[in-house]
Amino acid sequence: MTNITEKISGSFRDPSGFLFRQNGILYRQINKSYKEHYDFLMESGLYKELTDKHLLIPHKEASEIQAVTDDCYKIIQPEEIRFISYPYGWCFSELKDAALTTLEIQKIALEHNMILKDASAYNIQFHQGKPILIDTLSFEKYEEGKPWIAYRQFCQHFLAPLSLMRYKDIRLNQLLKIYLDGIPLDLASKLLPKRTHLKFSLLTHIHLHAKTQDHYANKAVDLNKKRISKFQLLALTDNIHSFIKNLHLPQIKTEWGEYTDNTNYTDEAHEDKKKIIEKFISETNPKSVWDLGANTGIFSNISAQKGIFTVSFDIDPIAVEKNYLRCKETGEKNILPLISDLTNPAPSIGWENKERLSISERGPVDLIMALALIHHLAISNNTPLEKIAECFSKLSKNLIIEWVPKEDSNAQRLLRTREDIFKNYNQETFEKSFSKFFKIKERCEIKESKRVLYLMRNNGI
Amino acid sequence: MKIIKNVGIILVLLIVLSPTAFAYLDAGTGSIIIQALIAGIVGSLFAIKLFWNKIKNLFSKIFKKK
Repeated sequence: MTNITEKISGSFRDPSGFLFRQNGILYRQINKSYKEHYDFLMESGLYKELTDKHLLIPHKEASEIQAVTDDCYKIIQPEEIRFISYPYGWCFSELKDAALTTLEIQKIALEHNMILKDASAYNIQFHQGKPILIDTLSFEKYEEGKPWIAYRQFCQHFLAPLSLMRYKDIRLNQLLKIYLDGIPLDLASKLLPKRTHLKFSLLTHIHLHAKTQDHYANKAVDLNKKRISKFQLLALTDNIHSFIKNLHLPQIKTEWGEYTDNTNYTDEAHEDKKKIIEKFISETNPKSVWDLGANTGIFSNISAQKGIFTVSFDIDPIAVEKNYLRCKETGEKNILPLISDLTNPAPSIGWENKERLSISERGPVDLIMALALIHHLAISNNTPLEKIAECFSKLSKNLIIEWVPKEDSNAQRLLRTREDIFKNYNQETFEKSFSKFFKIKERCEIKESKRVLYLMRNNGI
Repeated sequence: MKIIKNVGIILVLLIVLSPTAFAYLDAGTGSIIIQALIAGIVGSLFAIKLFWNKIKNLFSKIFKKK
């Protein structure tokens, strides 16, 4: 059998090693230059403590796998993450928990005489409902007196977006889509309200930090004289940790965050909808599900409770926040709530547009659920039904989709302020359009409602 | 005294450093300098915090025994 080895495009900056796939399995090559640090990580007890606490992804050494390059020290096989998500897809609390996890790891690493050499938000992923560090090569041996090299990166990747989301606007984590290495601190400082100068942590870690960066931009300074003791580093970590832990979103209402309370379904219609979805899921038996327009994740629960990993996408950051906090409270490990605008999904970004993958590159999936979504795409976004069908057919093998007729009060609400130019928005055209890409396997009318649920099978994938 | 000195430096920095023209950024230098300064201040506060926590623990142990 020939081995097909493919390097992972987002893993090239760190000379300590890189990720690759061989015959579909993910491996990490550790280079000889990192030998001393890797051995120390494994022997110092740090790896054991971090993996016991579910803070670092566990791995096994794969001695049977051949080196990809000459400078290979070891090949390891890390536990695989079900779905790679990025900080611009996270809600406030997901980013906050990822930040706290990074700081917790930094604290434990220092106690074992190691330190995080990078603090990238992209090194954190959600695994079984919790944030976890996926980069085993993020540690180096701590040298007494040396500062934290990743401090700037931590501020740009975590502190800047979190404080902007808290003190300016919850949507500002979307800046991370533009700035791959985190939000520049001078920009964060300009955008943050003046009153944030009165908060010690923001005054120092953001505002003064930005000014100091600017002041020393072209000056030669002997940095060897800048010594920071381990105790001071622990204090710095504790200071940022306390600040972030106490960051809470103010009470804000958005259209969708309140959706579940304001829906126009009767209780019976709601229960019937759930039953039909449950039946469709059982018939499809998917390994993973994407719930598009999931809102606070009520219907994602159905697949999650069957033990199926479900990515629960919604455009509204408050709805995603509610979904995440509920999953956290109930210990739901099978749902990953993420922010995504289906009309403008996350593109592939970074070097050669290959470092961070687009949503579609992270598919396809076994089953998509598009519940109470079609009228938003067709009416609010003027997308022809056939284009919606084509888009879904590229993402999934199976589709559960809810038809919302024009007479429905929610569809009417969307038409209230605009001319009805949607002559083709009817059930007949809907079925005809989707039949070009899918085979309609079942259709069920929802009791006490004009809506219809469909189960479809992709003709192509 | 050290903490007062460091807070003083921060205040002076706040007044002296005014936004200048865009320049090529060597983000590392400024970040390390401010980090050392903040670490100096929070280091002192951290020592007080740890000491205070010890006292609190001691009291809670005494009260628990009663």
